[in-house]
Amino acid sequence: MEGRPPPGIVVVGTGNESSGDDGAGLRVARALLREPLPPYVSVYEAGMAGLRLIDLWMGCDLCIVVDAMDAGEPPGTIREFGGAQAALECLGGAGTGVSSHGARLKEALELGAALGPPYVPGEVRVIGIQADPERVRFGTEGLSPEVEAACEQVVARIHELLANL
Amino acid sequence: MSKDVNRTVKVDYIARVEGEGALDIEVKDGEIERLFLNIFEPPRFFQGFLVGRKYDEVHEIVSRICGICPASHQITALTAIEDAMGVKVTERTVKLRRLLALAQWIQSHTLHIYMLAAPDFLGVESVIALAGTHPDAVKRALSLKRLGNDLTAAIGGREVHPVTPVVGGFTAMPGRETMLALRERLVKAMDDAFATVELVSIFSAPDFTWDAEHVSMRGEGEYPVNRGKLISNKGLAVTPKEYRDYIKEKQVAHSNAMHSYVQGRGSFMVGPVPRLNLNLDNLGDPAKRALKLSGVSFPTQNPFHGAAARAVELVQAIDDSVKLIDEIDWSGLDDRTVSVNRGQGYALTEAPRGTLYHSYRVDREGVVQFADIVSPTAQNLNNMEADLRRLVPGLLNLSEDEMTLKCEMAVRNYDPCISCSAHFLKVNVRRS
Repeated sequence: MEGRPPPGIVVVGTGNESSGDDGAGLRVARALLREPLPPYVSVYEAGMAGLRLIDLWMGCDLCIVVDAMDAGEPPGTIREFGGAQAALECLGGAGTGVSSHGARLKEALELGAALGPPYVPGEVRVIGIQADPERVRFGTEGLSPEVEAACEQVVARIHELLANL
Repeated sequence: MSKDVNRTVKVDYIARVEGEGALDIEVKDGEIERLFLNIFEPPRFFQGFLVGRKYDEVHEIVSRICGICPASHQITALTAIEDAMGVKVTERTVKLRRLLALAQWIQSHTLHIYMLAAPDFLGVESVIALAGTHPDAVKRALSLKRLGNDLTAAIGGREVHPVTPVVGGFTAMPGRETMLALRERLVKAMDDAFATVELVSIFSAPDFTWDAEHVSMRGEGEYPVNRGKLISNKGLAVTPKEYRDYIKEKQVAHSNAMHSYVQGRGSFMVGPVPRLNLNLDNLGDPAKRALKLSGVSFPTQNPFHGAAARAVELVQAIDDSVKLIDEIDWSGLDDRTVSVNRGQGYALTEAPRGTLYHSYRVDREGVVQFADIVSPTAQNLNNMEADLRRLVPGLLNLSEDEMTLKCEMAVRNYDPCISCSAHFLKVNVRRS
C-alpha cells in the first residue's frame, strides 16, 4: 500500500464516544494501544470512519473490528462473527439501528468485498458488544457498567486471538 | 403523498454532521404550487456557543462543523481571528494553509465525482454497484482519496480534524522527506486525475441552463483558495469585510436554514462551476488541458456540469500541491507572535463546495463576542430551489422515478453538505 508498511493484523475500534455505549469499540482500541503488542499488529481508533476503514485494513491478513451493536441481547453481551459475509449479515440486521456508523462499516466491507483483495482483508472478524440502547444517545458520556466490563473481556479475547495465530 | 410523510423532516440529527434534506414539490395544473427544499444546517448553533470562547479555541470548535471540510473551516476561522486581533502570519503559513485546503479539495472532489455523481450519470445505484461495473474507477477513487487524506495528515497532523494549524501559524511541520514522498505520489496521481477527467467527459448532462449569478473568489495570479476578492458574473466585487453589505440572508418558513441572496438581486451559486468560470485564466497548464478534455465548454451556466468542474479542479489542486511542496521551505518552524487585541475580523476562503465566510468580534481578552459563519451550502440553498423551479416544468412528462432522480441530481450538483446527502433526500412529488 502506498506510503505505509503492509500491516499483518489490524484491529479497528469504531464508534462515537459522545454517544455513550456507542464508544465501546474505541474503548477497546485505546486499551490495546496502551499495551505491548507484536510489531505486526496495528491498532486504530477509527471513530466514525466510513470508507477510510478500507485504507486501514487494506492488504492485511486479518482485521478485527470492534463495534457496539444492538442484537436485542442484555447489555454487555459479546458476539463474535467470522468472515466478511457473516459480518455483513450481522450489520445488516439490528446492528445498524443503534449505531450511527453501522451502515458505514457495512458499506466499507461491501465495497471492499466487491473490489476483492487487497481492498478486503484476508480474514475479517467482527466483535460486537451489545450496547444499552438507552445509553446510545448523543451527549451521553461514558459507558454503562455492563459494557465497560465487556470491553475488558474483549481486550482479553483479542490477546487470546493474537496468541493463537 | 400523505401529510405524515411531509412531516418527516425533523432537526433531530445533531450528532450527524451530514444532516438530512427533504424536497417537497407540488404541481397543480402544470404549475408549481409548492417547492421546498429543507436542509438541516449546523452552523447556526455553532455561532451561538462560540460566543464566550477564547480566540485560540475557535478553530478547534469550528472544525467540528464538518467532517468533510474541517480544514476549510479551520483556515477560515484562523484568518478571521487573526484579522480581528491584527496578527500577521508569514507567507509560508499562507502557503501551508493553502496546501492543507487543497488536500481537502482532492478528497472532497474525488468523493463527489465517484461516490455521488458517477452512480447518477452512469446509471448505477451506488458506488458499491459501480465497483462491479467500473472497478478500476473505484480503485482510482480510493487511491486519490487516500492521497488527500495522507496529505492532510502530513500537514495537519491528523487525517480528519487537523491539529497543527493555530492562530499565527503551525505548531509542527512535516519533514522534507515526508513531503518529497507525497510529491512523488501527487505527480503519479496526475494520471488518475486525467483519467477522472476522461470519466466525467462521458457524463451526459441534461440540457439546462439559466442566467444564475455565479459567485466565487478570484485569486490574483493564482487559483483562489485562501486569498482574493469575491466577485460574480454580474459585477459583484467585495472584500471579506464588505461581504455582509452585499450578501444577505432571509428566513424562509419551510426551512431551518436561511436563504442567501445578493443585495438588490437574488439567489446565487457558489462552488466549483462558478469558481472555474470566473478563474479560467488562473488555471495552470495541466488544468487548461483538462478543461479541453472535460467535454464541457467553460464558462457554463449549466449546474449539471459540477462533476466536470470538479475534475478540472482536481487536476489544478494536484498541480498546485506539487508546486507548493517545491516552493515551501520544509525546515524549521516560523515563530508565532500573537498579541491579543480587541477587534472584528473577516475571512473568505474557497472550500471544496464553494465560498466560506467567517467573521468574529473579540474583546481585549480575546473572548469571542460575536460569530458569523456562512457555509457554501447555506449560500447555495436558495439557488438550488431556483434551479428546481426552472427544471421541474420540463420534467412533468417523466415517470415519478425519473423525475425524482433528476430532482435529486439537481440537488447533488451542489454536493450540499449533508454528506450522504443525497441518499437521505426524501422527494415528495404531488401531481394533480
